[in-house]
Amino acid sequence: MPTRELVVVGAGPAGMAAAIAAAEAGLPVTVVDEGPRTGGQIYRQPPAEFEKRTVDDGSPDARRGEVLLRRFEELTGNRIEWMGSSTAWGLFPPRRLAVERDGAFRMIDTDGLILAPGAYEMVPPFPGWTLPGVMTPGAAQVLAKSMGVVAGRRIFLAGTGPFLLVVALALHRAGAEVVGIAETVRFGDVLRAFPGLVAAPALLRQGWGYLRALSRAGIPVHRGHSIVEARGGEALEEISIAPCDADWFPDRSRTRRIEVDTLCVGYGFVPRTQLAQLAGCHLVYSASLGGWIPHVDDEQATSVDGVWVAGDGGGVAGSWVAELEGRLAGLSAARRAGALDEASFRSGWRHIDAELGKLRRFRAALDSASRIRPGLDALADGETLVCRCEELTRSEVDAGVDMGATDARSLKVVTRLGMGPCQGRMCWPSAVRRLAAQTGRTPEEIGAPSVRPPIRPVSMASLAALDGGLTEASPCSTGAVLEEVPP
Amino acid sequence: MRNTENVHRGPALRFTFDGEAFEAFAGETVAAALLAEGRRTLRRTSRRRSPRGLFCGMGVCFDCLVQVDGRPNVQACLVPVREGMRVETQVGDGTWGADADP
Amino acid sequence: MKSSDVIVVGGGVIGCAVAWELTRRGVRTLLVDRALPGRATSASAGGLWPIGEAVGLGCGVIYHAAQHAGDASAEASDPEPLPAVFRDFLHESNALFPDLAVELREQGGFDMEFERGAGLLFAIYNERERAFVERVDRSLPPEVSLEILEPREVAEIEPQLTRDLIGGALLAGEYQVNPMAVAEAFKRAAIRGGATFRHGTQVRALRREGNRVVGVEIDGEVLTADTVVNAAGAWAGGLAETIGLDIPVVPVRGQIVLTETLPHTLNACLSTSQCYIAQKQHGEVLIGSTTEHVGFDVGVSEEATRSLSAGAIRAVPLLSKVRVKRVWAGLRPGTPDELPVLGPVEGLEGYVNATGGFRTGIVAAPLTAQVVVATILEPSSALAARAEPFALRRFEPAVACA
Repeated sequence: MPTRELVVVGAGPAGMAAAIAAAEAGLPVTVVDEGPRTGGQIYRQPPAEFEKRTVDDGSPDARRGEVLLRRFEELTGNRIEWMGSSTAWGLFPPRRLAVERDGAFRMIDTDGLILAPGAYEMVPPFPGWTLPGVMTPGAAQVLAKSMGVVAGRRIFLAGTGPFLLVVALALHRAGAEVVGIAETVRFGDVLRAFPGLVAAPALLRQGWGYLRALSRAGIPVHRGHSIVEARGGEALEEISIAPCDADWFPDRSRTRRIEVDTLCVGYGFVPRTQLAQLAGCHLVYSASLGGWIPHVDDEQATSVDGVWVAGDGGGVAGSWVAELEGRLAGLSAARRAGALDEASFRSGWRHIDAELGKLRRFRAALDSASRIRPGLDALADGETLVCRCEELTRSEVDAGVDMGATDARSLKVVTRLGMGPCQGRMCWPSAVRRLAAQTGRTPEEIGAPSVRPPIRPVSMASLAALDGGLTEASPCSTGAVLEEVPP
Repeated sequence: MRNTENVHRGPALRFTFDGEAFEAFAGETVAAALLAEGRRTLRRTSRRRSPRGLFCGMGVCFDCLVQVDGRPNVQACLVPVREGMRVETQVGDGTWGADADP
Repeated sequence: MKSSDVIVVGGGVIGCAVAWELTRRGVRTLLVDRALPGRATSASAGGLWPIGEAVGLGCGVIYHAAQHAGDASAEASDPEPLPAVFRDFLHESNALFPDLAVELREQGGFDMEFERGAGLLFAIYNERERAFVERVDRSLPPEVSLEILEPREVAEIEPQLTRDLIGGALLAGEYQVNPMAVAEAFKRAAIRGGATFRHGTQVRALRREGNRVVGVEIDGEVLTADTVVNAAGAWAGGLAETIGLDIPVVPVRGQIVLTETLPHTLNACLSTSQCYIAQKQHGEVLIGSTTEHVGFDVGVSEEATRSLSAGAIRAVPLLSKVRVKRVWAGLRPGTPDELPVLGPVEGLEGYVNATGGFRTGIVAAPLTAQVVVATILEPSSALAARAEPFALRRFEPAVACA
């Protein structure tokens, strides 16, 4: 099977920008994404069956997305090969990507690999957080933006960061009653961050615009408030929020109950680093960027030759940064492949690097304001489930730690924390903070959980047909269609 | 509920959820089609039989598992609803339907 | 002051079982473990298949089939049964499990997930395999029941098993546990009983004075004891080497494929010439395992993932509809004769082996612990004498005098 020149994993802003930059330089690019259409999470498009509808809602973010989607489409079938609905579940040395699509598999060897897998939302455990009706802001946004479905009638949002505001507005526009937003970052912390935020006036103006729009829509923002509890029988009926102190410990004597049927909770994002880990990329720990992230140089190149990381998967910094990082990685990959000369690369690099510098200063200020404080991890009590998949309470996990299970692997085998199908993605970011507090170590000292393929559950039929090339189906035919890989 | 402004949906189709017939639109995921009808509980857990529904909405958390055409562990947030699809609440680890046999 | 009476090195199933047995008998015990990835306990299916493994109907048949793929000469490639003395050891150890499961749950509050199920069922795909099973049957003592079944009877026991077979062989008395839970149950019972557990602690070396082992060295510290038990599994050889002792234990990698949680699908533990398959208590189906000599590499390979998955789908076609959640590998402590290395070493005081469990460490653990502890506390007892056939000196006389 031929070795491809460049494969990009992920078709969000980073992946699309990377593919466009490399393709424009003349390099053939294959783009692999789980979604049926390009856009990733942030620019998720309506299903193909819906009549064409723009993702442009008038915001600068969405306009940037629209430009990327259009340019990507122009290049698709020309220099870009699009592989949608395809899950990259493994990476074998040196750069052999294992991809599943509809129960069929491909092994793709490539000279260059740009990883742009994005991030997912961090939700801390709190009483009632497993009730139907409690979801991430991203879940509600995707439903509203791509399918025009509103998750509930009365919706409340809680957490940190501008994404909450964006989702609240999207839900409001889609016809939901947005009851309010609890933004846990206190006003004083925003003020302290202000000098850094000024580095990117456009983003600052954008944030201001969101707040004005919310105010016009009559949606209150409860600053310095935290979610405390969600209650309901079969599904969410009511939540409690409370003002919190500088360490985010809620003042439970001032708890306020609010009747809602939907609660969106998100306290930042967790980068998806599994493929970079399988590639053997050196990781570094950055609490403000979401935890363990691959170390990259000023061209987004990782420690592994021919592997780049761009976007939130390399440290959470939002869609604009993701796009610029993607473009940088695409240019760097094109130069390495000989499609771009040094001078052209340098001129592109200088422009992007200057822009990224400003955005990262803004982001650093924002991250420092919204960095997670200890009170967030005190929302759960002993009976709160901390592992959603395995239904483990905090007390059950604590007992495992007391008996000496003080790392991810031991906790998994002893308590089953992280043994479920999410493979620890939901529980571990919070569990590691708890473990750190209990054992007097830092999350950095505890280390990143080890990763092995498959990095997400993958059809056994497709594994059975694996052999690095095209094969007949397994002894008893699985009905899997093995695709011919075009050269 | 479905937002009708500015959305031009695909063709309508019919599916069942726990035996009850629902209408949906091509391209919608199972989770979207059910939430549009106000059906929030998609499964009951193995250990405590607690209700669960859509959570991450992007295929990461595996909380929205349903049974589709006799096969358990299907992610409702990812799988598009199809004409005649038989969707069921997954109870615990689920059950193999007669139509799951290969 | 010495740190404890006995130090047990290694927190796998053997080390934990020995620590519990010592504690139960009033010995001040320290269990030291560095939670290394790839310990054999985590790469076990948790099958309690004393006869199955002894006669090669577990991992053995998979290994030999893989070794002799395409080899037409039939009998030459069949696994050799292990000696009767070890088969009986396993059989007896297995019989301890039902009571042990209850006792450990009461003592330590942790459940090993012991399940009887329908036994160990070997799927016979072809005449060569049938001939092998019949030879195995003839070699077994009368008290062991190996039932050779017609396809119709196989289908009754295991409706999801493929119909594309010519028969089956059932060992009805062979059960399963969760291997990591067995180790944890032993460990918690030991801790509750007074044992000390030092986790995340690597033993750098044994400390020897003359012909006596006096303790272990960990980072910047020496822990002393009357006796040190080497239960370091695949790493036992390296540990022994620090005092010039040669134990021929090598890591033998076994890869495991695990499905997502499934509805009740299987009644028995299944064994075929391509893989074994067991549905565990939490609903996941576990598929094992390879037998590979790749040093201390605990990675997983494309080929093993493929062959185990293909073998599982061939045996249970319904598995083509499910997803694989996890693939991992562990290092079994293998020895040249596939038998464990137990008990004291001639010419060396204060040191006892408890390693070499290879494919049978889980099922052997309860009796192994009793025998090993007997060699420490009452060396002239009949129980201690049961370590004799498994003594290190069978490989090389007088190795300890080096």
